[in-house]
Amino acid sequence: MRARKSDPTFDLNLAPVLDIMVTVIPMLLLSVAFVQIRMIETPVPQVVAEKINSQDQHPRVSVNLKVSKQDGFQLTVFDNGQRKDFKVGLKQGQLDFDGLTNVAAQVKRQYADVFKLELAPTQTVVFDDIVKTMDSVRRMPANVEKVTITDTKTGQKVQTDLLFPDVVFANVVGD
Amino acid sequence: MNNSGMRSYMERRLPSSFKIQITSMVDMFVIILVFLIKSYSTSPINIQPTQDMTLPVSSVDADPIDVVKLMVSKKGIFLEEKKVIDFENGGLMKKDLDTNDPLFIAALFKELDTKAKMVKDISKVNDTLEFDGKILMQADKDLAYSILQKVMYTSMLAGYSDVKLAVNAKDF
Repeated sequence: MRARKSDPTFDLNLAPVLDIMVTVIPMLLLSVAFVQIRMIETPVPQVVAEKINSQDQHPRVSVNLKVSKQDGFQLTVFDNGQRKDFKVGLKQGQLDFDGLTNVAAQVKRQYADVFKLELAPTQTVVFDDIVKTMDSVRRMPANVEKVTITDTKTGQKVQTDLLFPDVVFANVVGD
Repeated sequence: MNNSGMRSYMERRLPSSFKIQITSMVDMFVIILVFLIKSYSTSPINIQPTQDMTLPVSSVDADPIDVVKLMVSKKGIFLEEKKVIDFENGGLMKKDLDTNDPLFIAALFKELDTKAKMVKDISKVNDTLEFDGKILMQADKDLAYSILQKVMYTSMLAGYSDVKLAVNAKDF
């Protein structure tokens, strides 16, 4: 008796898949972005937002950061009339952003409730350095212990790695 | 050629129809599709990098919002892609600055003020539109703060006091 043979392989019809690809690819090509734009406005947790609002209403402590290509960074804290200066000099002739982060973290430990920083770059500082400065004072380094703040509504303690995310230009209207 | 010869020739020769091998083409399209989906953007801000306009890179992760766009390149100042000021040697010309107030750029103020008034007028009859004073500034990373300060100062006087800075995403 002759056994009936059937072919176990078959050709998959890929033509409809190709049709879909040809339709979808031009649509995606129109909306493709080779550069992703972001905006400097850091979202902060609710507790931190409340702290920033309460600080705006009762500005007991203010933190000011001067940026100069000649002298580096100068972080000044005004605490009820008392002035404390922290300086970060240049490192190999360049602004020391890592040094700034460490100093900002040190200041943050003393003033955990303060999230606002007044930035005052000098005329010659370029925009790139301003953005790097903002990045340096936004968050603590990963290996540094977070600071603890107290939620004014619930009284619970919350840990945050945010340093000074609320940056405003202090010298827009002049020095 | 006799009939049997003709028949054997017809049997030996290739069929007149054939299948195109599209598997490799589909493979290629899948790779392109994955790349395009990864680069797909629904952001309201899309700029093409040019020699005169390179945004600084930042670790910030906030998506830009659709507000008035002000561009400060090495060549000049543009408001919504309309050129307002031309730069000379990478900086503002003296004639563009106010003699009494060296931070004030009169031409930019005029354009911004017109825009602000237009939005305020529309918002009087359209409740869904409100003038919020927000402006997105795209500036070249090599520009000095002295130029940006003047731009921000003028924007502030025109009512756009909430200046937001556009930057490139770090991990893209």
